[in-house]
Amino acid sequence: MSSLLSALFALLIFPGFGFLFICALAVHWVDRWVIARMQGRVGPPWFQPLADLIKLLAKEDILPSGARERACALLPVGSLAAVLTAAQYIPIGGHVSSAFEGDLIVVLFLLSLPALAYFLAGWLSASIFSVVGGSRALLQYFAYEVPFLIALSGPAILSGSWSIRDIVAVQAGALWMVAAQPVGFLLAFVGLIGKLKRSPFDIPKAKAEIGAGPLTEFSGRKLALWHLSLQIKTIVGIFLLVDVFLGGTGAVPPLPGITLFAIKALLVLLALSITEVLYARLRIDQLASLGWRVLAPLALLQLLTVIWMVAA
Amino acid sequence: MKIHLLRRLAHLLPESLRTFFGARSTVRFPFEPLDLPGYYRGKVVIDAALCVGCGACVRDCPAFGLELEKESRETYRLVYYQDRCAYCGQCEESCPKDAIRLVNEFAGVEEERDEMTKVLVEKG
Repeated sequence: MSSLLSALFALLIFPGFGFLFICALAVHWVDRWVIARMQGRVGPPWFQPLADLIKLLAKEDILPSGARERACALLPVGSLAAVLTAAQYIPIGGHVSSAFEGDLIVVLFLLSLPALAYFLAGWLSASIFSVVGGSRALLQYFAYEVPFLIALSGPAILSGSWSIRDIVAVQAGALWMVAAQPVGFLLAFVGLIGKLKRSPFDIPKAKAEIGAGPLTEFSGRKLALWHLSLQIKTIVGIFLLVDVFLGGTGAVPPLPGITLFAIKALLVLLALSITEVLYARLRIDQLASLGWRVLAPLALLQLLTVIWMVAA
Repeated sequence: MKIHLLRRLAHLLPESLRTFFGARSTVRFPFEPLDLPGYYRGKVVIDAALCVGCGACVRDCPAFGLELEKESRETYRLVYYQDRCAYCGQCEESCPKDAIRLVNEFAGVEEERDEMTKVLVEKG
């Protein structure tokens, strides 16, 4: 009974939905505020992300005629479910709901499901902007996903385990993976930007060109779920990078592990916000060229170095 | 393109950080004073002493925002319909006595539409 209760607690409260929900809203606010301040604006009040969510939940939910209504209703739920499930395998401040050998691969798979849902949302919602955005999302997926996967497999090979918990454990008291694989960290960071569709890789939702891309026709509760899914994906991606490359919780006295984890996550978030401010959107062909001509070869080089380090 | 991306980082990062720690550009009007430029066409004001009731402003107003209720040369009322006004400044251009001006202040709003009809000049 108590194990069932603790499993429910882990699933619903910490580190499950409740915690991720609050974290996602907080991260979204910090992100928007930092970007606003860097652009000389005031920025939103702290409750703005929650207010936006409530507003969307209260709004009328409409889709154009010709859109696949049932699929369009299921896609944001599927996307949210995938990122929430991925979060179950990611150690957050030393807590992890479940772990097994190979959970890194499952997490990477689960984190790529929202990209597919995003593409399908564009394809099935009967709008030319959505279709263009959806096809761009898929093209972008192929450009960033390969270097992202290779970059994240480096720490797994170096630590001799495909479990995120073990990768964190290997880094405790030793050098963080970012020191051994700085290029890998950079590539994973760039891949995360692509995954989150943030500037300069916000090509699928290029506002000046194609409305809101695949989400153009979404409104009300569905759009709220999409936004929530993307916000939770941001926090899950940040936690993943902190765990795999920045030593996870690994306490450095006098700071307790959980504080250090939060500081690292905040630093990654700040880096994401700064990148968003500094770079203008690339074209899809520029991103494909960057992905396949620069990022993928660099990732392979990093992987070969890691294999050489392990063999030596 | 790749070099360009790196160059942008070197140029824009210090600039963005300066902006981050510097003063914000947004003014929280009406909680803070806002300096409007001198050429801003806002509130319509009239110097009643200068107005001769010629009706040039009424004739030229493209938005029918002014009305002259004239009984004689000395007895007239100049009525201003703020809800029609486009703040184009034509009345200021047309006035031969420079009595009417659009000053650099925000024109206030009223809760009722009727309250936006104002008598600018009443003589006689």
